[in-house]
Amino acid sequence: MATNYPEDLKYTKEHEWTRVDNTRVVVGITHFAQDELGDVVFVELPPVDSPVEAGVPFGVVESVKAVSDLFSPISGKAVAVNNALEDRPELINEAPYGDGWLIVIEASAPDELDNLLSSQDYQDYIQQEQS
Amino acid sequence: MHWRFLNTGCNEAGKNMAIDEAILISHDTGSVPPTLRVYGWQQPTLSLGYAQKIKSDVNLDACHQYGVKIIRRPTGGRAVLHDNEVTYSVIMPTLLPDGTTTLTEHYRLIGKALATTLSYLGLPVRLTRPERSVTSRQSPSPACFTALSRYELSVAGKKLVGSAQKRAQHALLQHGSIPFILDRQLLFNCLNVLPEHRQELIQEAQTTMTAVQEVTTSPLQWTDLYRSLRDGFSQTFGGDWADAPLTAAELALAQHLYDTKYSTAEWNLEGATAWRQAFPLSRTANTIYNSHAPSSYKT
Repeated sequence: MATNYPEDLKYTKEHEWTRVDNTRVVVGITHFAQDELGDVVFVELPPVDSPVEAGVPFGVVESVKAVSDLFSPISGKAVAVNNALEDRPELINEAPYGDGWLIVIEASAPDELDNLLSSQDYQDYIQQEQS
Repeated sequence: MHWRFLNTGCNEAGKNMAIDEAILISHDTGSVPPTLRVYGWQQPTLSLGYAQKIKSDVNLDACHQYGVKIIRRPTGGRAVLHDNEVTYSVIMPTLLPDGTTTLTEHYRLIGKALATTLSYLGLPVRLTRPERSVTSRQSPSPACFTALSRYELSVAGKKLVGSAQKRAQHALLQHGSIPFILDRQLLFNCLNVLPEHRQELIQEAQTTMTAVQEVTTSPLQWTDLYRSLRDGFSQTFGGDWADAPLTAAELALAQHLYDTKYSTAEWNLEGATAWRQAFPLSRTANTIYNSHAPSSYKT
């Protein structure tokens, strides 16, 4: 279970993970999220250089079960998007923390990173959701 | 929890989708109660899933020839032919009073409400949960009712209700089609399938899809289904229920969504990405809503 939520990442209650490198933040959805969604069939991501805002949708993921908004964990600018997902949306299911990454954000308000959850806090949160 | 029951009658396809999305946005911001809506369609309509591709999946000439309107849903999934049916939409919080919050549980509860609804009408319905990935990536069919992927309602092994869901931050919209009569020929005429395969697909659909009038001899009317939906959902979700219309804010938001999204060729024919490029200001739908909104609704 612990390997499903790597400890070097930070998480959100909207079931996204972040990998922080100074002000560059890689974002994806967690193992829990892809498992709940089921097979992902489509991902819509913003153009590079789009502004993003904490708590506001930046894209959409469609699975066989639902269309779901993707919420930005922080504010800033999308400096890279995972174009591989256009042809292979299943990467989100197969490798949510690796090849299934979504976008890279250049953070404009690094303090917002303090609001993110640790791996343990996130695991506690999803356990609460499921109970 | 206080629920609203809403019957908006038969509308044009774009208006139907605009109303569903307006209720979702309104409930997501806490300004209207969870809502069960029933409605119909002014003309036969082929509704497509959010990301479904027109070019590969739809026969536009046939739709025009047969007078079938095309609309793109805000929800996922595949093509559904709306005609001679009752459409339901449920808009509710993602966090329910009993703590339920997961997608799987939402599907199960809504499925249970629909199963209860249909059992009230004397239909021998089954609610089943297929194994994951039964057909998701394997089935090339552009038609919704031929694909199983979540809690499904079937009678004698044939799918009776086709549903699709959209999840916002605090609320979800699930809507679905309960056909009284199912015109499989018209459906597959409107889909982009090879002519030599069409009859085979129609015959296959005889074994996988069904409609109310194929599974009962009772003279059921749409109003019977409206009443049973209200009863089925209130039985499952509990709470207090009241009939109430759309608010002024919802009507204004629905009009805005119709004008800038659901009546546009960009959204319906080209897809979400093309639509966002053509109508970037439509992202401020919430701004339109907030200018009319009452104080926050408290459940």
